Amino acid sequence: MYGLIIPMERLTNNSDLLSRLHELGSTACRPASLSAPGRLASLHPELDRFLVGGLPFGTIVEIGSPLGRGGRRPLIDFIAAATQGRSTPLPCWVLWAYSSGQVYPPAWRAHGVNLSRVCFARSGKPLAQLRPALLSPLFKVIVLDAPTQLSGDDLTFLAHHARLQGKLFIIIRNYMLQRDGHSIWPKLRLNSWRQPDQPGSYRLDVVRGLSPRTAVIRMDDI
Amino acid sequence: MTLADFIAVEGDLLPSLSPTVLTPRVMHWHEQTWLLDLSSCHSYWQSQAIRQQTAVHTLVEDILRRSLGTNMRAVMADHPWQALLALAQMRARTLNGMLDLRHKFGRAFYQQVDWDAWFSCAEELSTHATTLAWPRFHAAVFRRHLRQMQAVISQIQPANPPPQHASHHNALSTHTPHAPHTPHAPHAPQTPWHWRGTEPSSMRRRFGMTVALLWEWSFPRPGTDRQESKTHPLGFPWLPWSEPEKPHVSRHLETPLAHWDELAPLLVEDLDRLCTLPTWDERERVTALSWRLTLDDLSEATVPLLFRHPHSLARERGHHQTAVFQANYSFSAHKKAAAREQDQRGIVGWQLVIDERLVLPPFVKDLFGEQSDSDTRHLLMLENQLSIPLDRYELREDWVPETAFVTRSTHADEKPSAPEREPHSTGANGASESDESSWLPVARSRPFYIDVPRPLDTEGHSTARIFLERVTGKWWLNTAGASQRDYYAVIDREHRWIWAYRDQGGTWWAHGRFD
Repeated sequence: MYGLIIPMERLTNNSDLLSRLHELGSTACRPASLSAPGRLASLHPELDRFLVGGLPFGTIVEIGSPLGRGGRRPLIDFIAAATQGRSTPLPCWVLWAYSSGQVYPPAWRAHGVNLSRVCFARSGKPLAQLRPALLSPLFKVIVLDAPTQLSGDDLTFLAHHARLQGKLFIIIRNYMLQRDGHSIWPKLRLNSWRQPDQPGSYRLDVVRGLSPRTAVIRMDDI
Repeated sequence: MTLADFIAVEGDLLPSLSPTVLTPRVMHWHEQTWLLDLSSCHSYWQSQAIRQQTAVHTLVEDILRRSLGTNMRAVMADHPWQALLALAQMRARTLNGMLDLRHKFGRAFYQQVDWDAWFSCAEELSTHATTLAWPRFHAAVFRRHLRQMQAVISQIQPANPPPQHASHHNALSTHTPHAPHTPHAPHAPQTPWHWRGTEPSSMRRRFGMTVALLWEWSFPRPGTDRQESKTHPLGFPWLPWSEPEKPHVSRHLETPLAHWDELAPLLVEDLDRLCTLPTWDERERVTALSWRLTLDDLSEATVPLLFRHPHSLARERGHHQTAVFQANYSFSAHKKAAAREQDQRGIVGWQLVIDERLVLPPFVKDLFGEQSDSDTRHLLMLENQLSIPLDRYELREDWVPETAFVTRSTHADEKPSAPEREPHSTGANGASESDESSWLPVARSRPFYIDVPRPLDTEGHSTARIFLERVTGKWWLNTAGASQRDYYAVIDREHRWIWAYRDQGGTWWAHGRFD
């Protein structure tokens, strides 16, 4: 399914995580085995290995992805796996709230997303306009793409409900995340962008939640 | 296939039933003829059909037959005027049952609608247009125009139609590319359909604005804007049927209130009281409420409570979560507007009125009346609680990027049976709807978000670009998407990837961004 895989470049000295990574890597006979319990796997081997099994349910994940830099592409693999039920016991309903532009569904479908399991909402103020949907048990994965209004209190609220209902909230920012400052609530923070000189290659950089690490991942793309 | 937006029905409605058995938006057209606007209840009936393991057309026909008797006749169409025309023709031929003008048989039948049916419907319409005081409408002038038109039609309606050019050029002086088109029955009397090529502008010149409008409704031109008025989105003289007295409850407060937290518990109490009124029916489903506030200077303000799908108040007795969400959204908007005008008036009372309600006939098992935890039900209820819509999409067999998808209705993922669907029916624009698309592989190189195309200033960008695809234009349509496009990923100086195309004239357009 995926083309050439560039070996992951790891910049960590955390022995616990290293051993866990090695364990995961050594037992990875098939893609599904890369997912850890309570995590949403993408079924992309390199991506899941890099994120120690996937994105953790019950938390907020924050992704920095500047406009026009292609950083949302790796995330689509997680959405595809969730909506098809390939990495979860059942196909998940996904709510994707975005603040600008028009969603182009054929591209999502072409990358494996089951469109019948995704609801889109155009909203820059998701807490004000989508609160019942954010709290609904129907949606296990909720993506807030570049919300224009999301305060620290809102993040506290989302983190509480994520933990309470085992949901995964993914917040995408239109800028690169920095190592210092910002809210304490996102448990995993990473930046994602396309390698300028290598079309189809994406660079991931963990800012918080895992030991500092960077990977260049090749995806079937343009 | 889903339901059309309108049904024209005729029959003896059972005395025990309300005309709102299928939808709260009903118009009494003439004697035993009713017009139903189904647009607010599509998802609801589709869900009901799924629960009962039947096609939605079958379910609707069954409800109409049980409500109006076995001799009922009904026509389903996307425009009420077309439904009325076909219904008049069914009446003339004493045909019963339900017809869908979007199906092949319905379309063929519509071609047989004769001039008598057309003129009788036009006469009936003049009554409603007069009642609604249509702008620039004069019943006497309209009737005179109709008589003139009838005279012209009778002149050009010989037993043996004359050669094409002699007939219509003398009579209507119009360009009629289709008329008279009678290859299969050269001696059959001509119907309005044979004159469908006549331009509405020609009709307007000879027979006035209203006849031209009716002509446009009879044979809509693709790509032309529908004439709209304030009375109805389609410009149709829609006169809503309503009960003699709308169910309502009133409240008078001892002290003025202004804050939502103080109002919400009282509103819940009043919603409960609505469910205890003598007019209350357990089978009713509400789609619109009005919260008519009386302010402390005795002025009034109305806060609408609108539901996307028919909502059961009885099901949420005690908390009314859905209605309270909608009330909160509308009340917040009202408060914002008041704040802009520095209006600090308190609320001293209100009236809560049910504006629109659907009363299910007793033989219909209600979707929400039984325990059902399907995802579809969750979504329907959720959509009623939100201030903005949740969109879902499905793909179309279309190679032009912006027309390769359509909005999907809530019910669309559960289709137990769809016998009416014509496989891969292809429209005039060369596209058909399906769950998958053969153009999908091409979409891998397209972005996840697109924009309305806007001119791209190539001066500010580097020359680096990657050719992606060539999209052939729909040259036969005089609309956007008619021109051939060469798509590229254009990379600007800041390494941002822009989805852009160059048209046949060499102009660059930005159409999206690879975010």
